Amino acid sequence: MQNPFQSALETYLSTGQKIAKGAINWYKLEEREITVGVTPKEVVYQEDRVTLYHFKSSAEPSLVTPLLIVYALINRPLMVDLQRDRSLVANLLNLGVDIYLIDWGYPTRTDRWLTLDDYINGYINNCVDFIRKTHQLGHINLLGICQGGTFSLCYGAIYPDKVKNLIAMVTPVNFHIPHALLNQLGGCTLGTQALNVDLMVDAQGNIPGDYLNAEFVMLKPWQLGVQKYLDLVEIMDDEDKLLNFFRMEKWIFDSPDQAGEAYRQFLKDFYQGNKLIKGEIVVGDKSVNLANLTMPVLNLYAENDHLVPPASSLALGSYVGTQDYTFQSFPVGHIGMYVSRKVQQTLPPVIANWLREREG
Amino acid sequence: MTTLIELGAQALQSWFNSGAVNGSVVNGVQSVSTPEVEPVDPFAKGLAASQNLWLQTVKLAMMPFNQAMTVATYGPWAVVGRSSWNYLHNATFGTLARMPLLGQEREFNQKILQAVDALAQLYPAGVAYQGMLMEIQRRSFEAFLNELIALTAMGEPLTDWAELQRIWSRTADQVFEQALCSETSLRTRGDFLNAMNYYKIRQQELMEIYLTLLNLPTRCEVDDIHQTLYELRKEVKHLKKTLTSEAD
Repeated sequence: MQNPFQSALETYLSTGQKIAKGAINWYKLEEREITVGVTPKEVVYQEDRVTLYHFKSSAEPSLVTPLLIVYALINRPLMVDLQRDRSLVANLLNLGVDIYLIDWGYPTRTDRWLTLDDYINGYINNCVDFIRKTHQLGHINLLGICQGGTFSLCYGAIYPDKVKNLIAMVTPVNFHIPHALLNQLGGCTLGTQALNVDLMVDAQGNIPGDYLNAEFVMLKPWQLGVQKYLDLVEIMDDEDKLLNFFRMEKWIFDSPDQAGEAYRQFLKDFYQGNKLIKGEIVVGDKSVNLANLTMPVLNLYAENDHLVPPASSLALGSYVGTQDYTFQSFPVGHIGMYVSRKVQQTLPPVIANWLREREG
Repeated sequence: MTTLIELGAQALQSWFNSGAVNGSVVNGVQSVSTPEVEPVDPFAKGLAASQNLWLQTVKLAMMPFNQAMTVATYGPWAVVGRSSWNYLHNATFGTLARMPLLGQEREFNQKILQAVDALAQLYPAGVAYQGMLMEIQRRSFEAFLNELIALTAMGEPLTDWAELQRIWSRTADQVFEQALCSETSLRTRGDFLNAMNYYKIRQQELMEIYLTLLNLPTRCEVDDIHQTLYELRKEVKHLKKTLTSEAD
């Protein structure tokens, strides 16, 4: 058996070497090198702060129907194209999918009055119409991620004729899953006693991104607030890993504020009221009935998701009107769905093959 | 666990009750009562009663701190927060703050008082929230120790500090998640958030008065402009869309 003192000394020395080398790597690194979004893209449509990107592919797309990615309002959408070797966008392009992405931008105080009606019946609908017109197609494919998945479900239910195939990825559907901390904090059981949304929006106007970040960190305060920085010591001697760490750090904390009125409606109707599965959501003057989702639906969820519990996503199967409903899970957490190297080898083919089978 | 204060209080109490002052027992030695001590008796009894009252008060006041240190539950801290808020603010200044005022400055003064009242309401909510976090930390540490014991029992002792830290992070977060899901914790957190937002609204109301005095635009006015702009922009978009579809 090894002498414990010798073992401790060896650990101390190797850690010291890692920190020394890592400190040099860190020192050499510059903020401008931490770029997020690596695949070439062009701006094809703009409205207010919303930008529609079209990704450039070196090869001609083999799928005729383009895919529009609708990301959440929380954090930046370029998570799907974070770095070269782990880019959902790049991998899908390589598999022949033509991709568009909505970037919501950074809402300011002038956007405080934007509602879900503006986001769903306005921006998403206008982007879909633009793509339909550009490609001269009656309908397109839609991939909604997280909150963007919920928006996509609402959009598909309101405009079923404009959506050919619908993919929901780590999408919350049932907001009243017991013991799901995020839902509980949003007031799914106690309502205004857990969070008075009206008071918050009246006080804050737009909901600060920093507040939301703090809330997400508080879901796992030690692992997300302390442990990951301690683990940094283990990887900081590797330049690439250090750069990837900072990319992730940038993505996490580059969090836009939330338009006040949209936040109010999302928290009250979805989190507190759980109205999506009750068929009681009204966006503008249009009702959302999930039974109207008659197009093929693919539901992708993460088995260890602490933000959107699997049961919340899986609830979708009980409410959609389609006969062509598929679901598949991946053994990762919420963020792992975009950045896990393993998932990036399996997820893009699942999406591309599913779309290809329904291309005709 | 009996504390020093409780022991002291008990000792003093038994000392008074035993009649030590009137000369029955001093230092455990039995003595004979004499008529000379009788005139002092009412005074001694009064003193004992007042001492008892004082000690009892000290004991009660210290109990929450004492319990927090020994039994380590956040309840007593919440009690301290609520009590101090009730006695120091709610029953005194709080009542004053909620009274209708007179005179030309009544509206302005009322806003100041409401802001102070909101701040005072934020205080116990903050104490309760911090207390709740402390309690979760205590439970986390307990779970962490149990995890270490379980690992040792399974013959998997720790080999380095990093593993120790990882186990702590994992167990602490598990306890945190479970604890925060409880109705009491959610309510405590909700009270704190709601009190913060309520205070912010009151702060803004005061700020608006100063901005108006300085002839500067207020948040409400800017919000109104933004809302008008938003509505106009929406109307223009709608008109454009209608015109385009008609032209098509």
